[in-house]
Amino acid sequence: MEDNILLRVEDLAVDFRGDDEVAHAVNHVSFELRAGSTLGLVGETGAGKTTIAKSILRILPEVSARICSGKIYFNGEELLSLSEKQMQKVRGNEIAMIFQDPMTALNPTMTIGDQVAEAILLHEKLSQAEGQTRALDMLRMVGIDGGRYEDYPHQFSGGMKQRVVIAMALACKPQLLIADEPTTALDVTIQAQVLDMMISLKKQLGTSVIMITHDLGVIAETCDYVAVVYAGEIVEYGTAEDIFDRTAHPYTEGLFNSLPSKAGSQRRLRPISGMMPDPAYLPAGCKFADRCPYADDRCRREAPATRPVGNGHFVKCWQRGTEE
Amino acid sequence: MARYIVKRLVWLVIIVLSVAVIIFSLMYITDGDPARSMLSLNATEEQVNALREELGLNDPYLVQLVRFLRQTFLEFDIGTSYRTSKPVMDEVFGRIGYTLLISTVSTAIATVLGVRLGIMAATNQYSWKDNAAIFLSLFCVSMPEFWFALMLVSIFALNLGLLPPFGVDSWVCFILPCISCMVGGMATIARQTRSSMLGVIRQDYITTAKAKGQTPDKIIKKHALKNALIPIITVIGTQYGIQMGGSVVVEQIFSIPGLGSYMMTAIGFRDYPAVRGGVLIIAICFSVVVLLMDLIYAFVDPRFKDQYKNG
Repeated sequence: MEDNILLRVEDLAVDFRGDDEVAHAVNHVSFELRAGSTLGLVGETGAGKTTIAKSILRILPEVSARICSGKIYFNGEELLSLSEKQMQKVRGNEIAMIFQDPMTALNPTMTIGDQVAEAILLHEKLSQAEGQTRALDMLRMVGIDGGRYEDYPHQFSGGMKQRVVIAMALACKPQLLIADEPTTALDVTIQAQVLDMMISLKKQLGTSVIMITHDLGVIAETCDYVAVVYAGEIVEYGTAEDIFDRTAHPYTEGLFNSLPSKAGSQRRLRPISGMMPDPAYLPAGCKFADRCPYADDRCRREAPATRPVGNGHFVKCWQRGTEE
Repeated sequence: MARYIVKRLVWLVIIVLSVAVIIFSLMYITDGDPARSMLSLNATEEQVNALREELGLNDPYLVQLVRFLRQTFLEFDIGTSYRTSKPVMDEVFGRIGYTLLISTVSTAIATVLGVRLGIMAATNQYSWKDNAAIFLSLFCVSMPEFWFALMLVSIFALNLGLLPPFGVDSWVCFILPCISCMVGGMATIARQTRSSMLGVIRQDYITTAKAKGQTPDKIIKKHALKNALIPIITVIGTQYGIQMGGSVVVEQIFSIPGLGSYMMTAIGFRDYPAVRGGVLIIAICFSVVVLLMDLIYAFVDPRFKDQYKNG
């Protein structure tokens, strides 16, 4: 069981320091990722999903962000204690990342072929020519014609750019791929194409994936496990079936209620009222209490513990789950 | 690309023509009489008037303007200096060498030092290195050129005796003038580099490069600098163009017979052909530099190349 775990995040907390306030972006998050599986991090914008991902790669902005506590074990190695040099060997090689906006994720003054080749040449002892051949293979794998190797990013559409970004991320066949909203910036028709391609490449290469999204449709299509993130905490964790069929946390419930459904009778959407709390001024109790229809005094007073609802299904809520 | 260059050259001709008209008109409406300057103080009114007639200064504005434009652009003759009676072309080309030498060398040094200083400041934002770089460039930008040049003379020429205080006899004479001309440009380039780099290193593609496992050093050299370069090139080009106009102050202090001091004397003497000729040559040099800068853009940023291709 234990050796099956590729990534284990323990008690991760990240602060962002502003001029006169500290934003608690990630608050003591723990989760595990089994080799070969896909974990979805779902939550609304600003919940801390991207910060969790960037902490794993240690690419948070150095000036403002600080990892205040936690351990991140990858293949049994603790990433946060590695030197910057050792970390450079992990980035792009063992853990790679796909970014949200393909329009800005590529260097506009470098050919796309060279950008893919750069990732390969950084981690593998190959000649320039061999690196280019490998980059060409990667481009073909994501469906880009080899003749476009010398083209620049501005000559591509958004969907094609995202393919380049994916080719770049998978170039060294990483064990873990972190995909940060890989389809959010794309047209709906292109979204499906890119997602299908990612799923088939994942199977082909046996890569484990952390899929960050606010789109429950993407989660349903790609994920084995789901962690629901709210105000920098994981409020519910379980298999995709747990989350979709045995929804436990009131926030997750709210997420589903705010989706239009094709099958059910037509009804008005019920968005979750209110706003996520300001990460600089988090409430003492449950962070969702202000927006929660079930909240009582205890919820407002005391932060809920992580409680089991079923086998491997956990929830951070006083109203749900059982005392351990 | 060729079409773009041709288009720009046509523009260059139009700009030079406009400069010619403007400088002619400015000199026409300015007080002062070249005929009076050329003759001795006790010359009679008749003598002055006769000379004015001879130089064509009594003709109406339009007649003079058309004559000047015809001579300059059809006969390629910018005239003879009133003051020295030598062709302006010869005099300008005899002096422009010094100005070109000083402006090219000082711009080159300013570029190398300024870009390095700017990168150092940007990559160490808010640290003491950044603060030192900001202070240094602010000091260099706000310090008057003449004062700095005099300080250099006083320290290196008069007190230490290391370098000659003036003259053009050997290459060592140009060290102090080049340094005086360089500091202002270096500071401007450093400030532009810093702000441009700070903008670029926050871009997503820099994070992408980092996520690939690229080293910080290569991220700056390979990814950031090239993208930050366009506004830096613009500043370098402008600095170079300004320097080519001749730094009057520095040429005066170091007794260098360059374009700047020539123009100063010509303006004082109301030497119309010399002023017009000098300004036209400077305008052409400036325009060529700007054109070169625009062409360099295309090599730095492929998006400009595509833009130029579309005309």
